[in-house]
Amino acid sequence: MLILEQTLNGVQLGVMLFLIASGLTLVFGIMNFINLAHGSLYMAGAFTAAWVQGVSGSFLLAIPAAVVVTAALGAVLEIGLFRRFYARNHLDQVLVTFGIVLVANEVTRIVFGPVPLRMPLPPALAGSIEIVPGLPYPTFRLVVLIVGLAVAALLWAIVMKTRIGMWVRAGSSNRPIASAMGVDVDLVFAALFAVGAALAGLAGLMAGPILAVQVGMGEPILILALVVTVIGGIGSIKGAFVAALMVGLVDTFGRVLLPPALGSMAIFLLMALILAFRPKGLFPVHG
Amino acid sequence: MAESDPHRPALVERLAPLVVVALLAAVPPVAQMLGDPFLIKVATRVVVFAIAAVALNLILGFAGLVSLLQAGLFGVGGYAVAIAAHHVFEAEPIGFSALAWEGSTDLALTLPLAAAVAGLVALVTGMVSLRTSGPYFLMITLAFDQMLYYGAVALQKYGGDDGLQILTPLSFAGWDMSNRWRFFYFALTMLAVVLLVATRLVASRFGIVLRASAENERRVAVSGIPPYAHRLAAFTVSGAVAGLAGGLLAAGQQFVSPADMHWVRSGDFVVMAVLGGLSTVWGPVVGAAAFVVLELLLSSWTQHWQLAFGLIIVAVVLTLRGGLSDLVHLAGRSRGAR
Amino acid sequence: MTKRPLLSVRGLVKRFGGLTATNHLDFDLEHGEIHGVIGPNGAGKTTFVSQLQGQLTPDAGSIVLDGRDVTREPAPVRARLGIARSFQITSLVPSFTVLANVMLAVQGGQGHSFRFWKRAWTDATLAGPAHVALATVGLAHRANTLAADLAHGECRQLELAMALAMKPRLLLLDEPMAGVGRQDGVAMTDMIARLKGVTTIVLIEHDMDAVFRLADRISVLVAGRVIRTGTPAEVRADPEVRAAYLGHSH
Repeated sequence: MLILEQTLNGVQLGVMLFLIASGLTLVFGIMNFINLAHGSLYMAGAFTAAWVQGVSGSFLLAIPAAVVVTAALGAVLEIGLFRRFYARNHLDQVLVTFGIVLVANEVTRIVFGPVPLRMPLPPALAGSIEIVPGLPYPTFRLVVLIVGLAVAALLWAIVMKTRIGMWVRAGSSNRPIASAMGVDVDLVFAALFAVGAALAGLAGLMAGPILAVQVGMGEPILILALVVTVIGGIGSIKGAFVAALMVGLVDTFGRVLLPPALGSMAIFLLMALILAFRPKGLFPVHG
Repeated sequence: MAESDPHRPALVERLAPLVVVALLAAVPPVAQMLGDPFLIKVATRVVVFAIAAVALNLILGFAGLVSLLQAGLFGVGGYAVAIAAHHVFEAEPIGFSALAWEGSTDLALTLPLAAAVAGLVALVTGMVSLRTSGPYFLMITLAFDQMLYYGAVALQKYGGDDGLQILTPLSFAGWDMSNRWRFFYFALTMLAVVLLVATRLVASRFGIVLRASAENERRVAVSGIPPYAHRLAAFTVSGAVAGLAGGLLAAGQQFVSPADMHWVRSGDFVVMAVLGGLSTVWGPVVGAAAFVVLELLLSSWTQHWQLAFGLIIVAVVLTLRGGLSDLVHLAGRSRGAR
Repeated sequence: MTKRPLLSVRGLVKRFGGLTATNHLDFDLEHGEIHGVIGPNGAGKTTFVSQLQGQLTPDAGSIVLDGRDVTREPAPVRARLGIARSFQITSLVPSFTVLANVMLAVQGGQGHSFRFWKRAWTDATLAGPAHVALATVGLAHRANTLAADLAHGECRQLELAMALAMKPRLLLLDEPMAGVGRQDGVAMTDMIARLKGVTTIVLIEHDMDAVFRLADRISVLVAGRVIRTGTPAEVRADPEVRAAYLGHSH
């Protein structure tokens, strides 16, 4: 019973991580851009949702609000700032996104204050469902799990099967050729960045009722998403999915089974182990 | 040929580290004259951060490796000094029976210990992270930094989230180190030694390999020199020096906290190195001074100083259109190799 | 007693996906010879040299250097065993001076770089051999110039100086004449001629006149295998070679 419950928790953390890591890995794989501010978009999603729900009293309204606001934020950042850095080196990218992290945290602190916001669940989602006899499981976590899996499937289908996905993949391997094919690369990149941001925002929205909505909440999750990205192979959606589930499960079980100091390090040990044998991750994309 | 030999550093460049150290050395008397002892505290912070930033720049500016692990190693050193002192205060030995150690408040012992432990952690993490390169290296060092951070938070015995206070006075081989003047000059001496060693290091055979690997790894390998071993050695040395700096910080403020290990602090170290200039050994000292002063000025002006600081970073990176590293490259071109 | 060859390659195979770039290649190299390797574009010459040097690992076959199997050894190990290569595409450290580039190579040849204190540029054991190598290739007057500021021909000279500075037992020259002007090409040919007997050389080159003038023996590579090895005169006269290769270009 405990194992089943913890497995569900692990998978649920995994799909959340996938939502965040997919944006990170696509942006890196295709634009060759390291975005440390990706966690800030997650935070933006959570705060937007909490605020909209607080003002309107409607959880349903908070969902589109979080997604649209983070997508817009992502687009603004991409067009206004980040696209100038695609051709720059990684050090510059780290510096500029690091600056944005500091700015995002402080602006959030100024607007919302230091006290964590609460996101109460609507009654329909607040209860629990007996998934097998004798094991109630929180309804909302189950919803998160299903939504995450659905988004993952959708994303995979788009990248692998559609014309848009082909453009995206063409942009990744060869920008001049993609341009020559008549793809507006600038537009595709901006849209891609916005989609990645929206996914992070969605994850933030879903994390809101489970965790505290507070300044700095983006950073732990950014680290986990980076670990996922690196383990999976930078730029690989498939790798991100596999790695996200691995990290979700190892982290969840690590915390239950191991002493606290070791449990919090479990995923890093996993990462070190995997990279010792596969320095480019499980599913390397570039070379 | 002698006057234009690019392999010899220009006089200005050889004097610069001396000037920087001399300026810092003048702070306590000036603070005395102004009746503002707080300045000594500020200068101590500058010196300690400068040591860690100079160490970081060995691998960042010279070996071309963007590491975000520096704060973690810095903190490991801090915890080494604080934990050793904590056990003396609690009169509770570390380990048990034959292997028990009562701890120590003697920095002549605990600072080398701090460097050794941090160096060991750097060696182990470096063995994994240096097998990768570029963005992988960056992300892995960031992840390892957070691992150390969470590790420190999980140390409930040593204060966990709240950090660990050093409640006994520290000494160095019998000298009382709670004297603020004395401690400052002690730390400054460490900085001077680190600068000297680093200057020689980057100009040595080892340094040539390190810098060549940053630019053209294949050429180095073809020359029969394994870049990995040299990078690992540099990474370990840099980590050990960061540990030393962390130990000094803990000793100076009688306190160590996981907050100093957070990856944002690693980002601060990168900013210090970049602000001061990656192409010289002593540049990061200037960067550390600029950082600490900026932190002080901005935080006295607004509690949201990190907002201003973030905007300044973005502005700096944006205005140097070719990227800061291009400046370094330009500097490198006029500098040659030595 | 016949002296064993310096280098002996047997059954070498390298595939890139569906393409077999090296196809069961056999090759022997005698001590002290200049051995030309020619062949049409895409014959796999650079792939072959990369496997000798260790940058590529073969899929099958063996490479034996003076009795020691080096097939699986990485490039740095082979470099210490005395295999040096000058690249087809110039590979230098641009922000280093010419002298510093050569000093790096000298360090590699000496096999130890874990010296942390002594200033490298005042180290006579480094600078001495570096100056000698620069003088050999006629680049002594550019010692203090940055590598990034060299003309193309000078880069090739520097490449050669770096290879020589490692005091190699086997020097792999991958198209040293490529992109070099006629005059520099003549100078380069003379320089390689002077190296005859100093070190054993594998010379890959498109300039037929140069190869036939310099080489003691020539191997003809077609579609990843050696179809003929012999003296320049023998190769020139071989009907199969003429059909496969020389006929097209001459």
